Amino acid sequence: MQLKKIISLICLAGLLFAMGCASGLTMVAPRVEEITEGEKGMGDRINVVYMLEEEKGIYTLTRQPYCKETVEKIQVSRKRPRGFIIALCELPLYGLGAVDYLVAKIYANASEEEMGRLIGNSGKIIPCGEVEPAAHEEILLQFPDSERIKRLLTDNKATLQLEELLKEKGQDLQINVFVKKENNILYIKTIDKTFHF
Amino acid sequence: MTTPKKALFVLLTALACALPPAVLAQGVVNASCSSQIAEAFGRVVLDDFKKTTGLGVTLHVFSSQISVNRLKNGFCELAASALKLSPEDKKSGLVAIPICKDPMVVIACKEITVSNLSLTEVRRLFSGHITNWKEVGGPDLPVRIITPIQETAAYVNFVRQAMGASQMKFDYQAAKASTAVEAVSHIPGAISFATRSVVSKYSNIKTFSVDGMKPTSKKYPYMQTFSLITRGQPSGVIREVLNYSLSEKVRENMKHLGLTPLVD
Repeated sequence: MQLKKIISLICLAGLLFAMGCASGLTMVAPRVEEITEGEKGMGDRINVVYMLEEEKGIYTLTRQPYCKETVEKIQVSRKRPRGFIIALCELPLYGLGAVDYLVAKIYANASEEEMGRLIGNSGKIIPCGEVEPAAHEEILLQFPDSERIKRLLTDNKATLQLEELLKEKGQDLQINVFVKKENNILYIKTIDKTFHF
Repeated sequence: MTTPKKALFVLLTALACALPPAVLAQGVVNASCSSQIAEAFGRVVLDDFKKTTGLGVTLHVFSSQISVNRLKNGFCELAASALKLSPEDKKSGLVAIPICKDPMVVIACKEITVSNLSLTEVRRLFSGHITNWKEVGGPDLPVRIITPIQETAAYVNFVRQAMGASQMKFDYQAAKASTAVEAVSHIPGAISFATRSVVSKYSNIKTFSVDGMKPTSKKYPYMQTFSLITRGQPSGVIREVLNYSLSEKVRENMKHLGLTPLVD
């Protein structure tokens, strides 16, 4: 019984001693440098994305410019909150562990100092212009299984007559549509015929 | 709920809240690639793609079949394969965009003096019926058949296109199509098959005409198609990879490597 009491007292004393440890540890912790992300913006134009839409058998080609998304990378020097596990142990007994860790967090956040800013790429591609009809564009239809290529031009209204071509009996279940622009070939879409069989 | 269980629940909830969110790789395409295609294009293409677009590709090299299976099972977003997609794969939502084609060539070590083989001789050589090169007018050397493993696109395509009803035999098997080429360059009397763009990187390997048709001929019938495969319609970063693969610069590079662009 006596031993149990002693152990309990040691544990209690340990926990009492640990009170305020998280904030204390955070205060004495060394500063670390880290990079955080700031505002997002629009970068260089990377491409034009073409879209082919079908309505009542009429295919219309539209285009929309796409840009690289930029993000502000902020280099900061700060202290990181420490003693999370200790604060968690304090929590069921006193409820003050939460306050201790909150103080540690506030102190860590307050210690933040900005070192510099840089604009970098976020790695995403985002639309950066209006969707417009793509008239007089050279379209390539690739029939992958029969290895045929069919060339077409969109008319003044940016429409394409594909009905006859798609009705042709062939082994091709998927037809890839591309646009040829300044010798580069851009993918538009794949017309899927798999569910027509 | 008992007190220890409650405490455990609180502890786990607190830990779950404290853990950082999963790190998501933005602007990086996770791709699986056939070893033949990886070998044909080389690492330079990936570096140039990153330089041109500012986007990255994490590439894992496997056989074509494994690459497609990884795509189907969601382990990657893009696969490069030398196998044609089956109608079932297409119905399951996979989309194939054939990019280029490359002749499948019969190769041997440099010591073999013969330069043309008939299709019958090719079949008899690979089925083990011809055991010495002198039977086809070559030197007195035993024929050593080296093939890539059955799971590779090179094996599947060669058997499908050239072997007819003949049964393929082998003395050695290589895990990758490109390893078989390396083996042929070192083993006297060795014969194998591979995609031409990989073979052209070796100076000590002989390629054969088949039935008088050189692999450079437009009528050469044994070809492999290299395709990019996606789950559903390509969009976003994957679309950029595709557009880069179809760009004038890459198409010119394909021609330089001896490949034939399919969209030109």
